[in-house]
Amino acid sequence: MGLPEGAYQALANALGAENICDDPAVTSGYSYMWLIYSTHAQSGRYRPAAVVLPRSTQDVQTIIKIANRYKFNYIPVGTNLLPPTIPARADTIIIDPKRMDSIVEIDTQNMFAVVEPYVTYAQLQAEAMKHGLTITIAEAGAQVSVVANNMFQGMGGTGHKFGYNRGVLGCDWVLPNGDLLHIGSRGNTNADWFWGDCAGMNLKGLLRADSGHCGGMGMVTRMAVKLFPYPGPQTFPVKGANPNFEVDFPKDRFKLNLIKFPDRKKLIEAMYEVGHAEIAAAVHEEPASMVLSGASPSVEYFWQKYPDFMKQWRNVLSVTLIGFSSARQIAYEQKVLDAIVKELGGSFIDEGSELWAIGQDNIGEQIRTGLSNRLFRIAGDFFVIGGFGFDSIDQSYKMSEDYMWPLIEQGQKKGHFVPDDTHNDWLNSYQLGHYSETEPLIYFEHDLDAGASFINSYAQTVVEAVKRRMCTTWPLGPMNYISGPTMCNYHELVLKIKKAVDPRLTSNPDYPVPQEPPKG
Amino acid sequence: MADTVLAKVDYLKPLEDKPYSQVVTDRQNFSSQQKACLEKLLGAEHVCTDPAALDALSRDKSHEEAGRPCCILKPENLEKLCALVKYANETSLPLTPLSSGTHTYGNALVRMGGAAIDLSGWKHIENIDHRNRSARVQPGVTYGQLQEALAKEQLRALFPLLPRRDQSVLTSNLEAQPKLIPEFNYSEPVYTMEIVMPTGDIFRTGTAALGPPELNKSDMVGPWGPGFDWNRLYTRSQGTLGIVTWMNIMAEPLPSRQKLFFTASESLQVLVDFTYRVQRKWLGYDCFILNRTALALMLAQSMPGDYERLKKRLPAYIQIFCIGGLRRFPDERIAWQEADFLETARECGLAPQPGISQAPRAAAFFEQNLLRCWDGELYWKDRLKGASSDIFFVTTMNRTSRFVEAMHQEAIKVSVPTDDMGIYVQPIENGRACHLEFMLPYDPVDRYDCSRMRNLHGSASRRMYGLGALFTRAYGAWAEMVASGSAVQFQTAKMVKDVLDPKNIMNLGKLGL
Repeated sequence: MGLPEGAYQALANALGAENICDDPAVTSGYSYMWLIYSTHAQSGRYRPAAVVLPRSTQDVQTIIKIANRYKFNYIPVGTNLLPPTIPARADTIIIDPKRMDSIVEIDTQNMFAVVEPYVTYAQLQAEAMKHGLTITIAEAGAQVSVVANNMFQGMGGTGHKFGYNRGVLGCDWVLPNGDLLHIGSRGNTNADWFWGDCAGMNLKGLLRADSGHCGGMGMVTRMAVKLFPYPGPQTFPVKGANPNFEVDFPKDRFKLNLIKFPDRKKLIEAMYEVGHAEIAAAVHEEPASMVLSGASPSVEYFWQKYPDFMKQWRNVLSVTLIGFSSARQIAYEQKVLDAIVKELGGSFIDEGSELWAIGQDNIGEQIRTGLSNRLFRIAGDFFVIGGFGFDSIDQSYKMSEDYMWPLIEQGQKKGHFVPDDTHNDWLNSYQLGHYSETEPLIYFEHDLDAGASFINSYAQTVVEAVKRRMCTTWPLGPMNYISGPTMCNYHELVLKIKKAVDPRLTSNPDYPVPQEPPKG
Repeated sequence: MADTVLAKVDYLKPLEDKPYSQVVTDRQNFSSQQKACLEKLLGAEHVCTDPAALDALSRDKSHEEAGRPCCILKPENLEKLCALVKYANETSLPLTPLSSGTHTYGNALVRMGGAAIDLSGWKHIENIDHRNRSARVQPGVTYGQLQEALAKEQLRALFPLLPRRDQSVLTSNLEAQPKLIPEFNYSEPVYTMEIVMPTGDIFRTGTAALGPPELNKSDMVGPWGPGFDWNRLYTRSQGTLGIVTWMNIMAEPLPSRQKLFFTASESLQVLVDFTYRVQRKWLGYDCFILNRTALALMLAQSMPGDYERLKKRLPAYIQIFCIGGLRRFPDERIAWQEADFLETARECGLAPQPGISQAPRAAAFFEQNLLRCWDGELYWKDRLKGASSDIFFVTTMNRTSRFVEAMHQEAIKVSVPTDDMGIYVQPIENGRACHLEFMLPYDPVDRYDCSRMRNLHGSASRRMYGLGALFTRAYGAWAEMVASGSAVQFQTAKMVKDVLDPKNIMNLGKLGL
């Protein structure tokens, strides 16, 4: 079943025939995903009935109103990275914002930018850096949509200083009924975009939670995002050519430290101490597989190095200092960091060593993520067994050790996941260590068995978390029925509000929570 | 034609088909039955119908119309509070939660009948977690109480400017009162909270949702979710969506030493430009700007003599800036920040000083009071005339001068002396926004002065709104103003209210709902 009779023509009339397409050669491209099991089990099963290309907020409102009138579904996408953006039923159109790609405004004094959904982090950061500003870039890569990523998470390499889930300011949000809701300071026509919380009831609370609604609550067509001070050169300082390039930041303002600790507990202690000392801009535990894959110019290089590298690169904390104010700041923060490392028995990886040469890309990755695509080369597929759940640094560590790594080891025993005995995650500090998130990385082949092993293990992390009453992994769609009953039945409230703002359930209907729990 | 024509409406007949005396009796019976039920539910000693106490709650320090509760309820614990809210659902009894002794902006007035729930007695600090820099507090915990406890753990509470002694920490954070430190990473201090929903069910936000604190194995510092960003939705909701029974908030490292600087200027714009530059460098802790009136209200040892003398001598505006040293190398931390701060000042043609020559008390006063409540009998804002009518909102610092000019114009229109108007500019998140507050003193027992100030408050608020002021804390008439500005926002807010509070019992008439 495609679109109801007349719906395609209504869309074509509203947008122009050149901005809607149902040609299978085009729609097929929207039915496949890079990600794992769904790539095989669900991708390609349903092509969208059509793809529409709005140019403006008014166009998006029109599309959504037509969808409500004719009763078909729509999925708003950004740069189209995550599984929920592929259709799960036939009468679904994709709202692709390719033509909404403008940086509307950069307010350099009040440190924000206004962007449309197809603006990428790379675009925005390049413009912001010209004004001594930057933005924390998603680890998914600088090629992703700023709006979509902020709707989903807004995590990033410099989150220790720039925060998480704190970047969204004023928004234009087309609700699932087609009404335009102004979020934050947009609610006062004379107030500009600078503020994210609404006057009166703060409806920004519905925009997302720790993760987003995957298009299940309408579409944000313009968003103001926070920018942050950046004391570096106006152009991102990269040397060399792909695949061998590196960054070259001024040493008096940017300083990478790669620190080995005798065990993971000491590394965790160091993260707490760095947070309490209020130093540094980026603080991550860096797993061997991730560091090496980023630095590898080829797959062959990775596999040649990996067995030995995995033995050497253990319990490594990456700490990037940035002198936002002056070189004096770097000098002071380095002195504090030296003291912390000494107290905890850590040792700095020497600049000039082979380990340093492999790990030095870290600083560039934290400021502009450009190597995440290399994670896929190792085995074909890549993801994390758990993650996207936020609590303390201790909690991240405990989640990782108590049930995430045991699940990974089960997958390894089945031969589904690439061997890794480090028990090191990409474990991150956010907002000076106030929060943390951990992602144990896995790599696996692009086949059904390995994909199933992954998705089942991922879902199992939610089960294990609620069983232990610990912080949960991001419960995607139906997984909310696992976490909800243990967590104050939040899924029921979410569904009630979804039904209130989307009575015909046309906006990516199964998100944020499907109407019914999954069978079985 | 009939001899007599019956009236269509018998105006003498009571609406109920019974004698008026019976109506009065029924009401009295209902009230006593309701009281009996509440007493049974909460215990007689926790239900107050003392007319004097009810009268005291019927007005607050705002210009809002009076509203008298039918009773004041003081549930002892969470279980009884939940039972009370469920009873209120069954009987359609409106509830208005209160957390502190002084109510300032009308949000605690019982505007549409019903009971006030007084939680000021819930004064327990449930937990202090040094490692995760958090403190979990009940609604009645005050800043003085919290800071005393935190100091023992080498932590500090995030203070607003000289709060009242009875100011609830929980409400201050729930209402997003601006804090003195504009550090981005301190600016949203709520981690998690427990809410008794309007249905009487318990809900917890963030990782606190994983279970009651005694069972929860997280550290309850994950603020987002589950499902929606409830912390944001409930912030500034003024009790219209439920009753918060505890809140886990940030508690930051207590500086082992600190150094204060005062930078004076006759121009607000000059200090704004300087503050932008300092904040862009991510320097220091406390940072805010006061005009001479606000400063004199704080520093005067006697009123009005010393106040008037100070006001004549003080510069028009002062930026107050504090650098703190932490556990490791505190002097060196202060030294590099001081060097960068002074260098920035020089670039702006300014000369920060360790004190204010025209007010020698200032240095010691702020040294002692950045982490303290106002301890005078009369609150500092009220010292000149007995009361202060405040107008405050969020804007950007580059717009502040325009707002000040407009506010002066509005004051002049009603012959309010502009030099008695206090001004407070609090940068937020490294200066990318600010809280701008005007304090308009008036005599609360002078009817003419009250009326004049009420009119000025209304007209000036509308003028500020027209200039782009964002009344995020939409109290009283501000809520109507905000709601009338955006129909979609109002409708969506009402929809959310209907879902979460289906019997419409929580703090009726607030937020324009």
